[in-house]
Order: sequence, then C-alpha cells, then structure tokens
Amino acid sequence: MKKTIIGIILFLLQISLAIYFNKSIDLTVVISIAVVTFCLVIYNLSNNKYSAPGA
Amino acid sequence: MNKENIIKLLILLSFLVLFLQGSRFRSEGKKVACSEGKCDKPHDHGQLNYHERFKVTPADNIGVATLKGFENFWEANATGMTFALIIGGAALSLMLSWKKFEQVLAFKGIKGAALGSIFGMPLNMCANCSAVTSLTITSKNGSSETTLGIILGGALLNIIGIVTMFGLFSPAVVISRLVFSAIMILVIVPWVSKMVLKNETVPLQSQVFDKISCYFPEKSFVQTIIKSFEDWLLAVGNMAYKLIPLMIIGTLVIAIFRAFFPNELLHQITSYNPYIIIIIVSFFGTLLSVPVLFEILLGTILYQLGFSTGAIAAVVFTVPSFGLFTLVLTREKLGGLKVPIILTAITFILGIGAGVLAEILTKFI
Repeated sequence: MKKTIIGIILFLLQISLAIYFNKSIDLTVVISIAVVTFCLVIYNLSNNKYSAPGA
Repeated sequence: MNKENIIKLLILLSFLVLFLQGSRFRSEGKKVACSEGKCDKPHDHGQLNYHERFKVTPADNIGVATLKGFENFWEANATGMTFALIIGGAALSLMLSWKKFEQVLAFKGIKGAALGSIFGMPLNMCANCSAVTSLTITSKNGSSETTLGIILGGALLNIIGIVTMFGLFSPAVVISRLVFSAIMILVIVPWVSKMVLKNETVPLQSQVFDKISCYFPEKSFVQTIIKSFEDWLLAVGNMAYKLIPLMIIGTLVIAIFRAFFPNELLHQITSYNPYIIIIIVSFFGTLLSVPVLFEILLGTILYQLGFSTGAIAAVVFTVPSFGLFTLVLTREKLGGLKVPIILTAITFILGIGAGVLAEILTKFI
C-alpha cells in the first residue's frame, strides 16, 4: 500500500505539472476528483480499512 | 454485468471523452492546421512540438542539449502521458472487477493483436502515451499481443492522422503506411509475442489489486460510485509508481539521442540517392519519438525540403511506431530487452519497406 500511496503522490505531481504546462480544464476536473479521492484513501488507510481480513 | 462494472465503464468512457474533447481534438486540429501551412504561430515550431520552452541551439553542449530536450519532450507529452495513466487506471480497475474484459485482454495471436489495436484506435495517442495506457490496462493478465496491439493501434491507426495525410501527401504514402501498419500489427506482433516466454514476463500486478476486485452488492449506488473512484485511484497509484520512473528513463534516452542527432542532420542528406535516404530516414524515424501527429509535420518538412515520396512514407511509418521510449517501457512486460529490440529493428526494416513501396506506387498513381 505504501508504494501505491507514493504512486498516487507521483501521479498528483505529474498532473499538476501537466496543468502548469497546458492549463487545461479537463485535467483540472480530474485532479479535483483525484484529490478528494486521495483524502478518502488516506482516511480509510488511517482507519486500517485496507488491512487484510483477520490480520 | 453488475452496477459496479457499469459505473467503472462509465468512468472509463467519461475520462476518454474528457480527454478527447478537452484537449486532444483541439491539439490535433492545431497540428493539422500547422501541417497545412495555416499555423498562426509558425515561429514557435520546435523540433519536437509546436512550442518548445527551451530552444536547443548548436552552441549548446551535449549535457545542456539533453536537459533542454528532456524538458521539451516531457512538456510535449505531459497531457497525453497523464491521461494515459488516468484512462489506463480506469480500464485496469474495470478489468479487475469484470472478468469477461480480463479474458478479452488475454486473447493471443492475431485475434489479440487486432483487438488490442481496436482498443488503441480511439485513444488518439502517440506510441509513448499509448504504451503507458497499454501497460496499465494489461498489467494483470493481458497478453503481449494485446499490449503491443494497443500501442501500435493508438499510434498507427489514428483516423485523424490518416485523413490528414490523404490531403497532404501522395496516396502512395498513405497506402504504404496502411499496408505496413497492418503487417506490423497482424503479422509481426503475433510473431514476436511467441518469443515472450511466460516465465520471463514480470507481472506488474500487486496485492493492492486484490482490494479492487471485491464486489459488495449490498452497497448503495452512491457508495458504489465512491468505491469505483477509490479503485481507480489505487490502480493509477499502483501503475504510476512503476511507470513514472520508466517514463523518466525513456525520456532521458530520447533526449540523449536527440542531442546527438538533431533534425538539422536531415537537411544535409537531400542530395543523396533516394534509397539511401529512405534507409537514413527510417533509422532516424525508428529511434525518434514525437507526440501524436507530429510525424505528419515532419513529413511536410521533408516534402518542402524536396525529399522523395519514399522518404516521407518511411518517416510517417517509423516515427509514430515502436521506438526507444516504448523499448524502455515495455522491457519488463515483454520479458527483457530481446523482444523490444527485435521490434525496434523490425520497425526500421518495415520503414525501409514502406519507403520502397511508396517509391514504386508513385510510378503507378
């Protein structure tokens, strides 16, 4: 899961860079969804929702 | 098909439409206008894109030229590569919960290559970006044929590009590109895929994917939507962790190649024998990587410099096809460097074939 979180952060950096380069609306829409979802993932992670059952 | 899969399919289609309508069609429209000589900012044309932040000059040493080329290439592909991860992640998330889609992506032989190319066609991406999408989609159980089919379908079967070429170049160029694209996808891809031994292929999947495929029918519609977006982001994050470092290495390799072989070298060979030119142009085109449709502008530049139809056909086939960037990216999926290197060499040979065919066809058309 740690690698996936690093990957999401890398993806958010990449999308921010692409918005900086091209100022496109479509990517702005996607980053909004991604940031909200990322907050949800972090919340679920802090509540151990991603731990294996019975672990 | 359960409601989770329907929502995931809608998310995938929405991202594709957002990409095509929001930036890709507009960008392709500008490239078509530029190729037809109607560009409003011709002075902005760089070597790789229609705008380059850092102009590479002959005074730059190799290190500076490489750094500038790296930034220019990354910027030129920024939107495409980002959407490649977004769309690829959505498709992967769908595949993990919809077993029938997973089975389709595992098709082998000509069927796998042809289906892959059909999936690749609507992406409107160059080989670099469609490679990122393809590797993400096929990271679990996708066959090598489908992986390569998506990459080459996206790059070679771009409808806008083909229609534009009909308006700009001799029909011999377009016929030659279509014939050799079909050979590449339907003959070469199934053939080289047989060389990929299953035990040599490193699966890109991880345990995080196990958290994506579980379906809870008791969840409400809103909960399922939230779960689908969560799955999408986990899939994107997982693939970004693996692919972004490879994308950086691929871009660096291209930048180094560009530093040693700038476009100006092409200007010096105009007086050579047409068949020698086809070989040189094919070599350049194979190792060159450019954003989508830029091969048409390169073809136009060759046309204006007085190159023959064969040279133009070689460039419009080899430039968008398999090259250095895709070689770096597909190395793990194809079980090492052997198959990607063979594919790169075949691209070079087929590029020469495309050029020779166009030269022959010109005499009849």
